[in-house]
Amino acid sequence: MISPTGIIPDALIDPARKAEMLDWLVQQPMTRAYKLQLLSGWRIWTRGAITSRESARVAASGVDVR
Amino acid sequence: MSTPAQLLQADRRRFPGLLPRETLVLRAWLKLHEAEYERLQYNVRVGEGQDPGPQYPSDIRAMAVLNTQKRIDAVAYQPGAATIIEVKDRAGPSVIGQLLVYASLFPLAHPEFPRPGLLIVCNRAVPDILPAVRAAGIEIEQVDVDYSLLLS
Repeated sequence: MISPTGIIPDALIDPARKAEMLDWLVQQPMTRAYKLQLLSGWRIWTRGAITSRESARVAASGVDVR
Repeated sequence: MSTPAQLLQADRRRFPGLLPRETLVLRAWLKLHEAEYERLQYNVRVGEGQDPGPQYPSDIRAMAVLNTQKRIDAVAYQPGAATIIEVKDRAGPSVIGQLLVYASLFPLAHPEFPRPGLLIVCNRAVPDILPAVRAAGIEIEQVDVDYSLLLS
């Protein structure tokens, strides 16, 4: 699993800023697997909850998803 | 209840490549071994990363490359020698692959260290990885860790 620190902007490593973090992650030109690993890392650091719908949205934004 | 990010804020910035439990593992190891080294570097980027292509603005493209480079948890230096350190709470088979990849990439950026040492720092290890760890010339050091901080 990848730590999001130093990749996801530090201010967004905060459960109260989940929506902004998700928007940021969706916009990044990264692969599906890489984004999902960052999302898991964010969840561990923040104890924030991620719904299956949010996870699916991030997954669908991967540059390798057609 | 505080989040791990709040509880370990300073360490998280010092060791950006680590998750909360790994941060505590490295802290415990440093207490025992930091003085054995001349210096340590953390979050050492190696490799080329993944370029998403010219369809993206150059700043986004550069950030994507930087953000997808491999990140070595720590490199410990002694005179004339470098040791690549991968930190795990529980070391499993994937840590061997990580270290072997880093061992190939690190000398490309640091040719003065053509054969870096390889070290797993962990709290626990899957026993079945140990023969492969030895065969690959990797050292492993297990440390006791107090994880109670993360329960607050």
